[in-house]
Amino acid sequence: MKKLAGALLPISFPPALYHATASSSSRFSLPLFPAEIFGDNLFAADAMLLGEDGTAYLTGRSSEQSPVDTVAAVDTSNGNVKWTANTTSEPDLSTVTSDGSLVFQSAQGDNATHTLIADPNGNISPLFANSDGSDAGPVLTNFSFGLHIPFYWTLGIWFASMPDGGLGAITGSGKAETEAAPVPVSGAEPQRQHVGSPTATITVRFDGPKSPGDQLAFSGDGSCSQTLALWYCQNLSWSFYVEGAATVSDDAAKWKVSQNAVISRSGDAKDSQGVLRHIRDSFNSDILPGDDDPCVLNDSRPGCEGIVSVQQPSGQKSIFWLDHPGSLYKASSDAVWDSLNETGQFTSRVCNRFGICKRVNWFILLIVDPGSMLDSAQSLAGLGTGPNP
Amino acid sequence: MRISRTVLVSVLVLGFSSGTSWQWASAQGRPSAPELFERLRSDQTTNAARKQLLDLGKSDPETRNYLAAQLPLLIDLGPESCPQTDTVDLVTRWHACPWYNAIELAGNLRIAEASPALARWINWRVEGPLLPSIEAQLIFYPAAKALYEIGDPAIPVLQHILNSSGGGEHAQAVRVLCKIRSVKAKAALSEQLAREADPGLRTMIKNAMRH
Repeated sequence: MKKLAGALLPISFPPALYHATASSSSRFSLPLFPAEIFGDNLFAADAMLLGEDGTAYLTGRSSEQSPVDTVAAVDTSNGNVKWTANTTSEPDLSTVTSDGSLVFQSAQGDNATHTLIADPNGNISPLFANSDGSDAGPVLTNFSFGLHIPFYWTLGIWFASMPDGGLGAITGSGKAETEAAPVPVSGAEPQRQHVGSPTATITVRFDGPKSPGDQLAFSGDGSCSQTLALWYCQNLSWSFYVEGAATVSDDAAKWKVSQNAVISRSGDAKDSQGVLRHIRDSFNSDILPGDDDPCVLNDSRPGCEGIVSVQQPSGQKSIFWLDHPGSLYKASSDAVWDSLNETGQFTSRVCNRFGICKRVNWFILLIVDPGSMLDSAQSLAGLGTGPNP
Repeated sequence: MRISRTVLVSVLVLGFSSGTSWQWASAQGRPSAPELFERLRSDQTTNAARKQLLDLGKSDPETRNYLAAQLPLLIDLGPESCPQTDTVDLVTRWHACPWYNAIELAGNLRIAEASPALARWINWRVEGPLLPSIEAQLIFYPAAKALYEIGDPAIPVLQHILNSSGGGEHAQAVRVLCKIRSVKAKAALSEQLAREADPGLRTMIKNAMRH
């Protein structure tokens, strides 16, 4: 490793970088106007970082009038500019890794803040990338105050601000350490964990028999099947019978399953006189926190009596829960659905008491054609956010 | 100083009549319970009044007494009294209805006097999707949920439903008793188990009595 001696001083105008040692000083012109530092701003990222090989990484303006929109890597031994990169918004420098890559944050075209890494040649990519190269997050929005750059800890683990304002430990960069863990891609949510702490995987299944270890039974209003699929219970309901499954690294009993749902419906209800009435509405269970969480054994919430839809026995690592969202056949007390288009977007989570969570997004699309005929071909359910309402 | 008996009596009467806190509140510029109740009955102001009455009813016994007398009359009007609205969000739509808000207040404030009025609508379901967890928690059954919240004082009314109604109302009364979980509720369920014919309800009762 090359040792750097002396001091570095970037000057905004004329743009230059001074490198002073005990015996000499050098002045190098810069291709950017280095960002000015305004006092002791605790919430501002460093405007310059120094790599182990003596490369300085600076933020600055591409022109005198422009905002801070550029990052440059400069060899402080000779002033050579290794690379420059323009960013959509002011970059916040985080870390220089041992191989000479630079980690920083910058807002992108989506007005959200992304965490990026520039390799030693200045090629920029997401620090945590999905298999297709897209950003796996965390992508930050609505953060107008404070500094939210990630910090590298060890063994390929970064501490990073999460979209919900919390702090997560993330594995995934292949740049920082050779032993870095692969990026988790399920649900496009980076794995949030503490080193050595419990982990979980989560999914939802939509067809076929329930999992072999799942001893639960569908029950409650509007149910009539025990097989995963879209079912019509005659004159009672149309609903998707689904099974959630999570595998945890420690003990199933130490995790809690929760869920929220956003439903949009549009269709015609027909009363006993054959008169059609158009209905359009939406429902978001977030307004009633905890109310779409599956019932558990001895659940004291109203209505959970006799309904157990979560299986998470102590000593096991598998968690199962059942759900069958959809629509009742009756649209109201005096009418039935003649036609219906219902979309549902769900987020299921397993969390432990340390706040370590894993989530999965899933959706349903229920189509009932005029005449109260279930349209099995058009109706569907699956992982992800599904079609827009 | 001498105070005549007439003046003293007048002062006492005035003191008594102004002693109710909702009248005091009105005098201080805060809406009184009758004023808030009028707003509760109005489609335009019903939800804001619900929130204010909830706050006031929790802290002021006189407001609670006033609501105990008035809410049953509003609940008797039934869901057909709800205004037609284009509001898409269901929860907002529910709270735009004075009748719904009266039911919610009766449950939140545990007003036992409203139980007979609530019983009439025990199996009435608001319009909404099928979400089993929410279904099971009676969110879509506001009157049943209110009876559960009232708890033990609602048990006689629930027993009356069990003895006089069948079908959905009967099943809903069993479910509400199961939720209440008190000693009195379990005693009522024990009586019901001896004559309950529905196997599903029998199972529900047995499960409830185990806890």
